[in-house]
Amino acid sequence: MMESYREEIIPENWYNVVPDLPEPLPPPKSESEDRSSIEFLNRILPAEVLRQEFTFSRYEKIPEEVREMYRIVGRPTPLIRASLLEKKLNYSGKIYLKYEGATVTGSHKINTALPQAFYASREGVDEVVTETGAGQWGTATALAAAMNGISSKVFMVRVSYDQKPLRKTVMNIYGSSVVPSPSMETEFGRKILDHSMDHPGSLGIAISEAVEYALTNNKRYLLGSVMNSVLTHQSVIGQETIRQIEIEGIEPDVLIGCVGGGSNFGGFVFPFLKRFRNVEMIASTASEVPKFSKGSYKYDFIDTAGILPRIRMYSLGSDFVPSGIYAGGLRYHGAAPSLSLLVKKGRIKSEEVSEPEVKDALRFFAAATGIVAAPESGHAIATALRYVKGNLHEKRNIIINVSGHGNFDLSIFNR
Amino acid sequence: MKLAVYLTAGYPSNEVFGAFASAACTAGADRLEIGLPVREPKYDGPEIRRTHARALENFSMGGLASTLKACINGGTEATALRYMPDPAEFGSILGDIRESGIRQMIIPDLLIDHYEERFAVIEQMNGAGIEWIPFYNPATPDSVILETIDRAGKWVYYGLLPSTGISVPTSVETVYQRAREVIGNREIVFGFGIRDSQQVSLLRDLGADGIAIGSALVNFLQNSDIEGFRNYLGVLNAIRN
Ligand SMILES: Cc1ncc(COP(=O)(O)O)c(C=O)c1O
Repeated sequence: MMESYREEIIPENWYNVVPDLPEPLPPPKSESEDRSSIEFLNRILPAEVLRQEFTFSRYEKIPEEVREMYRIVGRPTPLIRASLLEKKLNYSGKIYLKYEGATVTGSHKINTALPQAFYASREGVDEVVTETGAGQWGTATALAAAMNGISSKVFMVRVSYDQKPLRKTVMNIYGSSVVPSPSMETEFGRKILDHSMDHPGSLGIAISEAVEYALTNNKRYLLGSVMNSVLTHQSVIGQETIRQIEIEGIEPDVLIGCVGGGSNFGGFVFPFLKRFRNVEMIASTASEVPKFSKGSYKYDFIDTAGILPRIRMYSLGSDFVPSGIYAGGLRYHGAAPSLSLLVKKGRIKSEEVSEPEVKDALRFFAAATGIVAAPESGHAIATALRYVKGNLHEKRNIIINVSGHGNFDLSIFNR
Repeated sequence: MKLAVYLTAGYPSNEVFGAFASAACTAGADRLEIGLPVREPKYDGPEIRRTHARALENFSMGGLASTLKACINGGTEATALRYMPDPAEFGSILGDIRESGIRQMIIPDLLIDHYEERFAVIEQMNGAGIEWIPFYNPATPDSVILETIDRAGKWVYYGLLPSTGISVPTSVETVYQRAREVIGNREIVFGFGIRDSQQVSLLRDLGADGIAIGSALVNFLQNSDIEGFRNYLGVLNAIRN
C-alpha cells in the first residue's frame, strides 16, 4: 500500500524543456570541414541518449525497467517540511527540502546514470566509462552499470583519489574499476605523466582520458551533466516535487538549487515553468566559479580537450582553472544551454556564495534538519538562508533542492 | 511530395553550378534552394562547409539571373538561402536576390542568433519584395513558431538535425508529428541529413509535403558527375511520386 502510493509519485515520462523555451535553443556547432564533432558523438555516447538529445520530444517515456530501478534506489525522494529550520530563522513562511541525498548513492546523479547505463547495455555495450571529480558521478555510474549487468570504469582526478579513499571503496564495492587520472591507460594520460609523474589531475584531463578509453575500446562514455538529455532525465526531481506539493496542498513561491553543469537545477525547476508562471527561481553558484556574472554567453567547448562539440552557454572558458574549492561539482566552467538561455532572459536569477558562508550554512542547516548536505548543495542552502533573512515576514513557500548528502566530504569541516 | 534541391551558388565553379541547376530543373525539382556563399556557414556540416569556402572564390551575384532564368520560367521556384548579412549589406543583398528572379529567402540563423530583430528583418525582406521562408527545427519552441508562422511565405523549411549532412539518431516520426501539430496544414519541406531512400519513403508515408537534399549531392558536384546526379534525382523521383 505504502509502496504503491510512493510509486505513483515517480513520473512516467521525462520532461524536456526545449519545446517550451521562450527562444530557440542554439544548436551545437562543429567548425571542421573534415569531420563533424556532432556526428563523432555516435562513437562515444549510447545511441538512445543521442536520439533523445536531438529529437527534443517534450515527453520521453521512461522505460519500465528504469522506473523500477528508480524505485529501488530510493525514488521518489522525500519532500521534507523543515519546520524546525523555519522556527530557528523566525520565518513566517514555509520551507521544504527536496532531498536528493536520500538516493542510495547520495545524490541526484543516479537519475541519469541509470537510463544511460540501461541504454548502453541494451545496445550491447559491455562496459561504460566516465570521469569523476568529487566522486558523486563516479559512484552513480558504478551502481548504474552494476544494476544493468555491465562493467564500468571511472577515471578519478588524482587529488580526489588520494583525498577521498572511501569514495573509491564504494565504487569498488559496486564493481567498478577506479583509476587515478592522469593514468598510464591512455595516450593522453601517459603524455602528461611523462612530463610530471605526480600531476594532481583535473576534471578536463579525466574527461579526455575517459573519452579516449571509450573510443579506442569501443565502449560508451556517460556524461554527468550539461547535455540536454541529462537535464531531461533529471526532470524526475521537479515532477515528483510538483506531485508532492499537490498532496501537501501548497503553492510554490520560490525554488532554489545549486548549479555546476546545471543538471540538478534544471531537472528541479524546468517542470514548474509552464504551470507556475510566477514562481521565483534562483540558481546558486560558487563565487569562486562565477559563470553567470563573469562568464560570457557564447559558444564554447563542453570539455577541456575540445573533443566534444561547442555549445552556446554561459562559460568562463573551457580552459578555466578554478581555485581549489571544496565543492568539486561546482567547478565546471559552463552551464547547460537551456539553463543559460533562461538566465540570460532573466527568467532565472542567479546568486553566488563563497566557501566560508557555505560552511556556516551547512552547520546551521544540519542542526535543524539532521542533514549534513553536500558542499554543492550547501550553496543552495546558503542562498535560501539569505533569502529568508531578507524576507522574514513574507509567507512565501520556499523549496530547496538538496542535491546530495555530504557524508564523504566531511573533511571540509576540519579545514 | 515535392523535391527541393540545394546547391551552393558558384560551387565548384559558376559553370558546373549552372549546369547542375538546369539539370535539377529538367529532372523535376520543384524548388531550387540557392545557398549564397559566406565565410562562416555556422550550422552546416563538413560537406556544405567545404562548398562555401570554394564558392566564395568564384561567385558573384551578377551571373545568377541568367543561370536561373530557364528554371524559373519552367516553373521551378527558387529560394535564396543566406546566413544573416551585416545590416549595412542587407539592403543590397535583397536587391541582388530580387534581380536574380528569386522571390523567397531563408535566413537559417535568423531565429537563433538574431531573434530580437526577427520582425524587423522579415519586414525589410517583404519590403524588398521577398517572401520570408522560415527555418525551424526540433529545438525551435512551439511558441516561437506560433508567433512567426503568420509572416511566413509559401512554405516552411524544417531541419531534422542540428546540422546539415551529418548522421545522428533521431525519431523522424516524433519530429514530424510535433512539426505538423504546430505548423498545421502549411507546406513543410524537411531537410538536413536526408540521404537514404528509406528516410525519403518514411517522410512520404508520414505526409511530408517535401524533402530537401543538399549534402548528398556535393560529391556529384565536386566530380562534375552530372549523369550520376540525374540518376540520383531519378531514384528520389521514383520514391516520392
Ligand atoms: C551533490 C551534487 N550537487 C550538485 C552537483 C553539480 O552538478 P549539476 O549542476 O549538474 O547538478 C554535483 C556534481 O558533481 C553534485 O555531486
